[in-house]
Amino acid sequence: MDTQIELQISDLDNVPHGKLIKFMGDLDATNVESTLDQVTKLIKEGFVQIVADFRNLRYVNSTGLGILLHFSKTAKEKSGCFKIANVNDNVYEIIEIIGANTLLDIYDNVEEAIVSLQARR
Amino acid sequence: MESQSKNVSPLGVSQTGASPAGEKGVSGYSVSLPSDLEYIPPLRQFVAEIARVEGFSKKFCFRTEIIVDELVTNGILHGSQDVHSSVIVSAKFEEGSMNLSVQDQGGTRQNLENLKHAVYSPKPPSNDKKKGRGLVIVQMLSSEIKIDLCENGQTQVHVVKTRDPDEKQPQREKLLYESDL
Amino acid sequence: MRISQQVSAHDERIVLLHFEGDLNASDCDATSKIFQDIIDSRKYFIVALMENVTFVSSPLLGELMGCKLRLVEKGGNMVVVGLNYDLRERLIQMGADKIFQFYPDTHTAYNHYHWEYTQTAQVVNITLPPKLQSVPAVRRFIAGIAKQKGYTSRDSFRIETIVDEIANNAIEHGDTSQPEITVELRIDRKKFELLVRNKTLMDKANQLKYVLEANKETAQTGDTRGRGLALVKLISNSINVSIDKSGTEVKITKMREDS
Repeated sequence: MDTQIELQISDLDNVPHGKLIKFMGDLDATNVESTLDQVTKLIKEGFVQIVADFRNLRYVNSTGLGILLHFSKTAKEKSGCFKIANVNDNVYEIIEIIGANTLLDIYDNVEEAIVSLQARR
Repeated sequence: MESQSKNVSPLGVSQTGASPAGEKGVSGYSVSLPSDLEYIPPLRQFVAEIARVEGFSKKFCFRTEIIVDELVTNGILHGSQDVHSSVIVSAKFEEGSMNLSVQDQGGTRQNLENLKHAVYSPKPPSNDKKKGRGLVIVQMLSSEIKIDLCENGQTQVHVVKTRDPDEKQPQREKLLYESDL
Repeated sequence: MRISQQVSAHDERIVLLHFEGDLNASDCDATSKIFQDIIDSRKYFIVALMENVTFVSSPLLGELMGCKLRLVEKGGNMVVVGLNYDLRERLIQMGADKIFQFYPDTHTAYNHYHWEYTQTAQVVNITLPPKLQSVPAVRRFIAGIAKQKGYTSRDSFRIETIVDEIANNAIEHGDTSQPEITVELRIDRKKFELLVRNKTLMDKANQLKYVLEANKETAQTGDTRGRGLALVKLISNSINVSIDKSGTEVKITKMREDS
């Protein structure tokens, strides 16, 4: 069962190969596999400019962080990027403890993340 | 019982279960559950909610939630692989601190060595390493951590988490009311 | 390709198959024979361990799908454990996730096997101080377990109601000197059992027994707790109260509604 996470995926206007993914709920060991499958499918389809909106991501543990780093690495390997926005303080603290804040592209809000994507073009 | 501790005095938490009757100002809870990852989300939220009921801040409770998650995940994945094995989580709350204990039914010698190494000689997690991040998080969020290796092969990890220094003393009655809503 | 097999130390009906290296088309015949030998030995549950697999060819995957079908025809199953990210992705591209369940580790695979194929209940024991304030957390915990184990939202809500009423009752009417109450949950695919034990004053315990076991569906007007317990009667399948010197035990059984 992986009832605690929901991903809402939509297009990113004016960003070729772009997608916005809204993470809602808790990302943990019980749902990393299904999250991995959904995001990997997008990357495989060529959507490598990804903005992850964490506004409604309440919780993440070390297993969840592991796949976030994997998404970032995979997107970069395909000349894309995996940017994160709207991280709440609790989740940010966990990201910071394992030093992932230096590895993940983190923005205050979705708009800033999109602008940075457009600047890459 | 072989015991080691890191910058701590012994916790004195060797038994599981609720605190003895009459132990003033101490609330004890314990949960025994199957070694199954599916139990972790409701369990971690339960312990966090109890911490809230016991008057700790939202921040403290979130940190408790992740400590429980990481320790129980560790106990399930690296403890006994018997399908009928269980994990016991005990939490004792006092005015300024929480004593948390997670007991599994023991894994391989190598797993125990890995656990001791992770707790007593922690290294910052490397970027490529997929495992070992969880205990780093527990180390950072708790005040004290200790492992007991019992003679019967069971492993207990004890954590003390004191009220965060920047945390205002919450109004206990008000919090209880809020949590009941 | 290298394959080694062993009977699970935890359950002799399960065979662990360790695959290693590249699983090529040329390995199909050998794979088929191994599966047939296992089936001939009347073992129908296989956990395929693929942590050390580096490649899976599509003909070999097709062979594994056929092997799984042979197991299912015998009432068994085959699941895949330990795939790395890249291999998992490749197998999903080939549609393997529609046929096989993937698990991150053997332990999780065993747990699912027991849940699906044996009627063994999973047991959770909770010990808590007799504080009314802790009941909301307990009831949400137990309802959360029911949801996580696949019970419907309606079932989970009803379970939450049952836990709330029974646990509140145990605390409100318990002996004030009792150090703790215990809540035991036994859950399997078809039913949910709740046992709440506490030390209750004898006259209160007998009142509870009357409300819960007497042949009446509603409580007397003005009796708040009785109304709650009448509700428990309506939404559960059986209630049993036993009283002795050591305390009171209330046992509630609720069948899963979609079972």
